[in-house]
Amino acid sequence: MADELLETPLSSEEEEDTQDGKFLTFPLGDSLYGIEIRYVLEVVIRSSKIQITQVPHMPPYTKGVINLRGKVIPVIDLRTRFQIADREYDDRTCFVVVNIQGMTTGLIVDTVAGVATIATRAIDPPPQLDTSAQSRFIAGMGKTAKTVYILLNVNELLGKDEIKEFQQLESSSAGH
Amino acid sequence: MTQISEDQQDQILEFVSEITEMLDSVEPTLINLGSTDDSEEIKSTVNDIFRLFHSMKGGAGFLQLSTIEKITHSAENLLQHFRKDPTTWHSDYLEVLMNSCDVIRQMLEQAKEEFHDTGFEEEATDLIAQLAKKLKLLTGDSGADSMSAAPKPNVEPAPTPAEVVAEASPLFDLPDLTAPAAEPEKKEETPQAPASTKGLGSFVSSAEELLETAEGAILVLERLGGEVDNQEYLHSILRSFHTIKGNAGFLGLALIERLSHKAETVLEEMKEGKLTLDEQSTQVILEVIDVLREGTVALAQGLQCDATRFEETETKLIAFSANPTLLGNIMVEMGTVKPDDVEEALDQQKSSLGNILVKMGKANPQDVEKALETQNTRQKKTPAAKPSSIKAQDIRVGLDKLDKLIDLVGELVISETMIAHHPALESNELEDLRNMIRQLDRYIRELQETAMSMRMVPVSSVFQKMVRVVHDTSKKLGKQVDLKMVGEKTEVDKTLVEQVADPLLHLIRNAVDHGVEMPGDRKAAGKSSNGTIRLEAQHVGNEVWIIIDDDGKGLSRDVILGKAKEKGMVGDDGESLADEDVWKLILEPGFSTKEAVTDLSGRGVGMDVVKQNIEKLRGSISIESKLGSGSIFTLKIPLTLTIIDGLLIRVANTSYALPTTTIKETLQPQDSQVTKTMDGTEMLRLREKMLPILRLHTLYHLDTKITELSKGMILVIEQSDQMFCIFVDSVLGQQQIVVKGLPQAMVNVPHLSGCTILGNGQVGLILDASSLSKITTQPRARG
Amino acid sequence: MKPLNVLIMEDDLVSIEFLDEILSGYGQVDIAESGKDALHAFHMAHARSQPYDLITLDIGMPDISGNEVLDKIREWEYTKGFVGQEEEVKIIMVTAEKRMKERIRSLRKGCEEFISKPIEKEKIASTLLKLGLID
Repeated sequence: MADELLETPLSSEEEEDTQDGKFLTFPLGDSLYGIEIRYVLEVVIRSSKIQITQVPHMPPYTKGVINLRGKVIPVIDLRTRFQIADREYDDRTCFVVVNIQGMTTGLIVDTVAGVATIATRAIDPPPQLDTSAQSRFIAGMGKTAKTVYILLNVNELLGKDEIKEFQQLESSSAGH
Repeated sequence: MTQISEDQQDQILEFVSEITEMLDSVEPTLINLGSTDDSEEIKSTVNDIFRLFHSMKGGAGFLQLSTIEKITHSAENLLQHFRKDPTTWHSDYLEVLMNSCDVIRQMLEQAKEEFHDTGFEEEATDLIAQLAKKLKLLTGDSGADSMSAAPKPNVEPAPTPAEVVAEASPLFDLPDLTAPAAEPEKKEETPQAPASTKGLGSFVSSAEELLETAEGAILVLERLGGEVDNQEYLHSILRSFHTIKGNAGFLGLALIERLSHKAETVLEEMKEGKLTLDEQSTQVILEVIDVLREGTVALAQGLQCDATRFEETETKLIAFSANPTLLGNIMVEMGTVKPDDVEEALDQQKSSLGNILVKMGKANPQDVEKALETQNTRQKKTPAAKPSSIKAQDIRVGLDKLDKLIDLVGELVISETMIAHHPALESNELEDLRNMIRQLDRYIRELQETAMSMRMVPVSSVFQKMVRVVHDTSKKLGKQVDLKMVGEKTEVDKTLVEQVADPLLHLIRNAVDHGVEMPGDRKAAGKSSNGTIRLEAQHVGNEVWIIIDDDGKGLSRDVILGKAKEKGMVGDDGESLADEDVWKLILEPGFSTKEAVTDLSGRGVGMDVVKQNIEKLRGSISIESKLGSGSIFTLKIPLTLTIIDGLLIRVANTSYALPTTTIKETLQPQDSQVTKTMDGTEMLRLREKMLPILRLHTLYHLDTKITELSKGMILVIEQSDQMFCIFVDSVLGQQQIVVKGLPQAMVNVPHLSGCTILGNGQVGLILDASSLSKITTQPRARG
Repeated sequence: MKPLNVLIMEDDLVSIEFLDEILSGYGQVDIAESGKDALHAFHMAHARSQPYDLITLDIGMPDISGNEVLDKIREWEYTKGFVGQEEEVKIIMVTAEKRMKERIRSLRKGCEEFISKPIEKEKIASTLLKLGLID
């Protein structure tokens, strides 16, 4: 209920033409991705101090929870989420801490690249041809002089409905 | 819609929260108005409600919430009429006022989100018309005689004709309220301050104010004795003492009660002219005021009243009494004198007070001298110049800050535990350090208790909500139900208050819906037509008990068992179940004793949800019932929710915790103790018992190397009379853990009640023993 | 209209001067520079049978706050049975307080109106008009 109170941020297309968006960018597999900077609370480099506690009955991409300075937040592995081959976590692995509809969540990425400024007019809608389930994660394709970023639709990453379904599935099987 | 600045939005949010709070507190008193004919209660409540609507009007006007402003304006006009003349109040007016509250609540809800109150014009016009109609009814009926009343005799006609600002409302014609009001004939009726007598705190503050009133009045009399209406001032002093006496009596404050009673008696005699108010008597009454004030200040600080001081003053007061019989009676009653002494005193009444006391051997001359001296000094300084009452200072702190503090204290407790148990400390040379740590430990525990107590709030806010629930529910069902509340001041953790509200609402509705019978049925059963539901809160040990006790028809063993059999919840052996176990069946999922789910039972939620919610708070429900005479539901909930003693265990690479209260023992099982049943359930033989084993790694699909029972550990759990075992990799140890909520996306994970941060910074998951117990006890097919 | 009996409770000299100047135009003005003085003046006025028609209270006072004075006056009036009667004095809070929460509390305690600081002559006139004190 609390998240309903929060304003749903305008998607980038609806913003005024003149306003250029800033995006936190990171590589994942073969592509570069971008998350609108206003969703990003902080970036934490994974260290041996931060252990992920596995939480049962969660979808595979939810790796568990971490203690972020006294606050317990769930962490989502974007590789698993996007069905890209897994990779061992190392000392470059980062948690991108984002605020998704009022919920603080950590996104596990290989590393972060930096911040890119992408003009709204330089953002194309997501490819229509791609009908895979993954396409809903894509808010648009951001073009800069050098490269193209896949801009993420942060609100879709958590997949609250999926989590619920998954839990019901799991708990109903748990008794047997 | 004009643009609304952030500042205005904040203002509106503040408005909504303040008004909602006020509505929550005033609405129940409004409902009580429907059933009372105590004129004092009506007067005080009407005034309260008037102020509520006045506040709403003022705030809404400022914020340009014009629909709210218009409704409250009309309601205020109606209420102003009852304020002027409470005798015109009738419960017929209740409905429209409650509807107004409801509509305003809806508008507030909207304003909270959208920052305006438009869209309710239809309801508003309707309400305003109703309010106006009621007002016309009032003014039409009684208008004729009320207009001709004379103004109060001892006050010059006030230069202001208007009591109410009757601005022309664009919606309808307001009846003229600006004409001089009726002078109530009941002027002589005893006015009483609307003092809340329910607790010491409110007693202290109301007493302070009453004393101030009395003091002001007596000082006016002292200075302007000849020019003012003495009677009125004397009466106001008398009333102050009377109210203090009543409140003190209610709270069992015997000294204060007695002294104010004596003072009241003296004042009565002054009023009747049996006693004159001279310099000396003024002084004594001022002294009474001072002593009472000292007493209340002492009470506020948690100290005892100075009994000697009270008795001294009492003696002085009694000496003034004009009524010898009364004096004698009082003194004898005080046990300070024998009847003979009184006789003696009466003989000597012409002598001064001091002499009498000395002669009677009740005081020595020096004491009297000293007392006179004190009296003189007191006379010189104006009592009003004394430092005014010491009041407990309150500040408002955001809940988030408080939670942060409590979190930190919790972490501090854990860190301290870890230091205290550090193996390095076991060395013999460190005795000093160990002592210091023990001291640190004491302070930290105290700090923890203090911090926790800051989150404590009285349950009254939840209880108050139930007034409306009972009113609405019983009205809808055509039943007559009185709600009696006991122990509303009982303090519990704020989170608990929030979380207990829903279960309580449900139980109360159930009590009205299923418990209390229709008035006719009650009469037929030889009961009063009004049912009574008692809602009580009390602290019992480390728990708070919330008791819902109705005098309705009680639970029927046959009906419940029949239903349970039908649903396959019990077999044919159901008849052998103890009553207590039968009642428990109604808490099971899928059980409902009434065929048709009424809309009152609320969104199809059953008693099982109530049970679940209470168990989430690590509490329990017990039920007592007697067919024909009613049922008692008792919710027993542990007081502190956020810090528990936990046993830490490990499965695979994850740490879990269980409240130690649920753990009977831990053991490493021998293979010979384990039996496997045909359906694959493993049972542990523990002495004479066979207990089912729940493997945590299987339940949660955890990848662990320890799968042989003899390699790991068994926890024997006892939860709601059920015993079972949990198999884990290893037991890490026992420690205090700070319970945190799981992130929102994870609150539905089965069998987890929260999480905690462990000493190494990792997150541990807290298991919910009651929910685990269900896996092992429920028939498999239902799992 | 009859001249008004007015009590100004205010500790800020500039405000006192300003309020005095405006309100003197409507009648007799007394000034109390502390909460205690104000309460005393209030009781004395009743003792003299010349109660005030209007009291302006500054919320922030060195001794007793405006809200407390307000509370005490209303309480006393209640015990006297003045509730809803002509004797109930009109009270205006003079404040720089912008917070709605505080305003609502004052209203709850029984003040009629607010005048924000800085004080404007027109605002006072319109408030008196609204309260039916002048026409």
